[in-house]
Amino acid sequence: MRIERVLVANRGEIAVRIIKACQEMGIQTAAIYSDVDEDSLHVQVADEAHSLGDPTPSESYLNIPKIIGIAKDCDADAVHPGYGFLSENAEFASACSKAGLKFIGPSSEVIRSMGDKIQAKKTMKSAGVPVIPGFTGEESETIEEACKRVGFPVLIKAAAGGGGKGMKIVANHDELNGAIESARREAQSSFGNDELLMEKYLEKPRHIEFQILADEHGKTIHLFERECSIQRRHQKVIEETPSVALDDELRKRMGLAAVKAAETIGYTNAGTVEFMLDKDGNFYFLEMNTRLQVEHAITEMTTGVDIVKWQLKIAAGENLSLDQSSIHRHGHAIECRIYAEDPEKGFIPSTGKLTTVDVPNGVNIRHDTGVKEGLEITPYYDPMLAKLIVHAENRQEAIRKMHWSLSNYITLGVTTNVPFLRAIIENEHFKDGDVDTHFIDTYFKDWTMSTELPVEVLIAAAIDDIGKTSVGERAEASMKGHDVHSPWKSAGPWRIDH
Amino acid sequence: MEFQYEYAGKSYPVWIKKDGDGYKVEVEDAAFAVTSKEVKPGHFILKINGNPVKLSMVSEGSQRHIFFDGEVFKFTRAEGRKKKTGSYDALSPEITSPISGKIVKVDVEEGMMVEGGQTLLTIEAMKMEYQIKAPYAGEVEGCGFKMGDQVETGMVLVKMKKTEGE
Repeated sequence: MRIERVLVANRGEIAVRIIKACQEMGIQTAAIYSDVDEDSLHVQVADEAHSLGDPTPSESYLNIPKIIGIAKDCDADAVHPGYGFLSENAEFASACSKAGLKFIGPSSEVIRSMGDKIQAKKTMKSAGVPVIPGFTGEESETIEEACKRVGFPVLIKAAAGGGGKGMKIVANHDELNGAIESARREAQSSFGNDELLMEKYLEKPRHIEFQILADEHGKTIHLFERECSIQRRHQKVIEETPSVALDDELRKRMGLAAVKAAETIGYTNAGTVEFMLDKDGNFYFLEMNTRLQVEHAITEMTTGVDIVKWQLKIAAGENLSLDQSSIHRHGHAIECRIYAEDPEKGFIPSTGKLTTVDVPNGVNIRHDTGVKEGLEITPYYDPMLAKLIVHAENRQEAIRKMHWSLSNYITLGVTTNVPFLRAIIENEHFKDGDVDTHFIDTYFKDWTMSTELPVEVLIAAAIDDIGKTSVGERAEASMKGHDVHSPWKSAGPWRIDH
Repeated sequence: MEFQYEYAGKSYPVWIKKDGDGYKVEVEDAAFAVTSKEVKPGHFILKINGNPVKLSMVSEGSQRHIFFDGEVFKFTRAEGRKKKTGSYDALSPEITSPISGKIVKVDVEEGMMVEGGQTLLTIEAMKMEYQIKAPYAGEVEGCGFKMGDQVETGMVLVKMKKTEGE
């Protein structure tokens, strides 16, 4: 089929990213926006934009009938779901098909099969892809026997669980019976069900994922790995490629396993197979993300492959003309996710008006953003504002480039995690590549910014205030309607250095 | 002139006066000769004792956000409102709220004598606490709010009578 108009069922930086790829390919784009997003960047860059009204997610970017209706009304022939929102919603994929719209992603069956995490692990296990060994209650053995089989340490958790209730790390056999009893009591009182599961506890695990591209004619390749171990609250913060934890042999085995995983379920379009890698180099299937990933850009920087364009081409039925042997990587790429959140206050999301945005530019610096100066950051959606991606000849150079970029990344008006990101980049363990998924909890538990105001900052504030004072009421009268972010614009007589 | 800034529970008095094309600034016991150039709205290069320094800033009410060396410092000026030309003599007796939020602590009552810089009350906004401090020494003439009250930016929090001779 030929795709002529794509409805982009998302917002923020990823909507902008998709719209730009479509426009490069000569494909028309239609954006959707809720009331609070009317002035957003994705609305401005799209060829047309349609209102969703009420900003509540369930009434806007998650409202399947509304979105399908808009897509039909504007004569779109395909829908790109981006990431988050409806991107891994099998109902949405199937509703698109029923409405005669091509869903840019895998089939609804594939989405459903990977959406059930327990079922996904069983599917992968039977296909020979390693999964974290453990006890699921179906084995013809006791938990104790299963522990002996997988080896300590193990993690005992409530089958009905969540929130850490009834979860115990057991270091050795002596602790096992006590832990099982205590976990059962907690599980019973929290969930009314004392059934327990067990899995091997991975010490210092890394999160390693492989990017997959698969066409609709049976060809599947991978675009190598990304290391995403730097996480807070199980959300990725910094990603990089290549991973320092993989040598060529392990990389090859994991790549084959990833392709095998995708082929087993008849995967099509772009997707990601996530693995946990333990400190001894054993890897285990975690889950498959049946969509474009936030961190796809670092793969694009190092391989030169435009993943979003391939998503569109694959959806249009084109053959994947890239061969595994023709995919080569160059250098090292790092991505930092810029969140509107306060790292000093447990990462609570921050809102407000982005009064100043001034982002560094330079060789091999990429900035994917959905925001701009003057935009109001509302509490309705994900707090990720933008992604800063750098590419350099090697990891050390990439770290330096990222450090420079973060040091020159100016946002005012809304609290962001930029200083926190820079602190991670400066961390010696990070520089050594000594990271795991507990990295932030281990080294940055009570991180705070400087608790002293630098003298330079005090001087700047005083110059600003003396300027305002000497301008006095005369200026105040002329400052009506004056933008709060540039008090210096009308600063008057003290600006004698010009 | 003296300005006072509050950050992380600490007070920073800064003395400044115009000096030819620039300024003389004193922070604690150190003196600085400073010139300032605005490269584009909100972005500056200061020369502090001859050393160039880049900063970006916005201010709203008494709140200051200044980007310097990769960090954003968010702090407040102790006075709740804009000052008129000159000295403290012109200071308003009304202390207004720099932010919208909830009053979580009131430290003063009518008739109380306070020192300059003393905390009058504390406001919580977006899970952050802001302390409202006395801009000068004086007597509290009234505070119309109690703990738990919601206040909007610009509302008069406390009325004060300045101690003469300061």
